[in-house]
Amino acid sequence: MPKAAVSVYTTLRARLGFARRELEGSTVGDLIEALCAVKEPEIRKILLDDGGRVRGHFVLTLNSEMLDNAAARGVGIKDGDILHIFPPVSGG
Amino acid sequence: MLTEREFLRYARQIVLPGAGAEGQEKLKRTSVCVVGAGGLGAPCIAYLAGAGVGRLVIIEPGRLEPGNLHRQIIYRNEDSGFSKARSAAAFAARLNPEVKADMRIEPLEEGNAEHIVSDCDIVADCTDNFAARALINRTCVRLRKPLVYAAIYRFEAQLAVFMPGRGCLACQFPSVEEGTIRPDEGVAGPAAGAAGAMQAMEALKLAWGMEPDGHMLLMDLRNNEFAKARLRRLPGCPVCGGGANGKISGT
Ligand SMILES: [Zn+2]
Repeated sequence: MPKAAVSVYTTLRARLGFARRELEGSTVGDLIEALCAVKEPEIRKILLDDGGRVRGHFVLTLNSEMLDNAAARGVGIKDGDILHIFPPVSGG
Repeated sequence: MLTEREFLRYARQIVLPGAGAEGQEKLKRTSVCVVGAGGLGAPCIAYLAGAGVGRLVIIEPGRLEPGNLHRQIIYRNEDSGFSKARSAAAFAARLNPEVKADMRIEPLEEGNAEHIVSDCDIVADCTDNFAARALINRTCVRLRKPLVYAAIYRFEAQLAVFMPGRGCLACQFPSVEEGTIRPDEGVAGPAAGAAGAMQAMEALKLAWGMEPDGHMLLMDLRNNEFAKARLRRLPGCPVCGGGANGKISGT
């Protein structure tokens, strides 16, 4: 299985206890499942809606390109890919 | 034409590739609206004033609280309790008397946003809440003004420049979940400082005519990780229309 670096921000980072981790998966969906598995059911609730889709306020980027949340799960992963998951922040 | 005093004052900036005396004159003719004079706004105002931007419009309703001072570096202890807009404008004027520093001791709101923004060339969003950010975004899209956006959370910051017709803040963040991220979760002063300084950098580059790079910068100053996300135009964006067919709605 390909390995990708997954970086998380803000609340996800606080709940997961890390900023970046190497995870295995052949699709973005696999990586998301691997992330959820780190701390069930907490991370799943934060990250996904009831339909299993990444919540609208999170932006996913794969190798710096933003993904469409509705289609993100099916996107293929290659070794060395970099996935970022971040919400908007508002502080100033 | 620049005066001899201006040549001396801005010497180190005028020699920059792409700036020059002509660039300095461009700065002098540029007005920047800085919305919010807090952790982002303070360094942004300082660098813009130092650089010789012709006119700064500082929008800030608040008064300085002691808890602001760890990051809002243009204020002094004795400014506590006084209008931040007034102190910020006074700071800019003391730093650089060549700069016209206007201030408005009021929040940016539906009723005044269009009037204030239409009078400026560039807008810097240095606010601290989603509602103000959404209003600034809508106003900049409607008036076709470049928007220099930054936002912070603890040790993290986001920075982007939104150009008219090339996607807006809502294209990147179509929904926000107010309440998941609260402003009381802490902010590292220098993280706000870095982001605010970069907003000034982006505003200066815009004024000099340098193209923005079309990405959002994600800064993690806890781990010193920096990442870029290419800005997108979201088809059917409720604010800008996403430019899916090359047209921007609301203009
Ligand atoms: Zn948009």
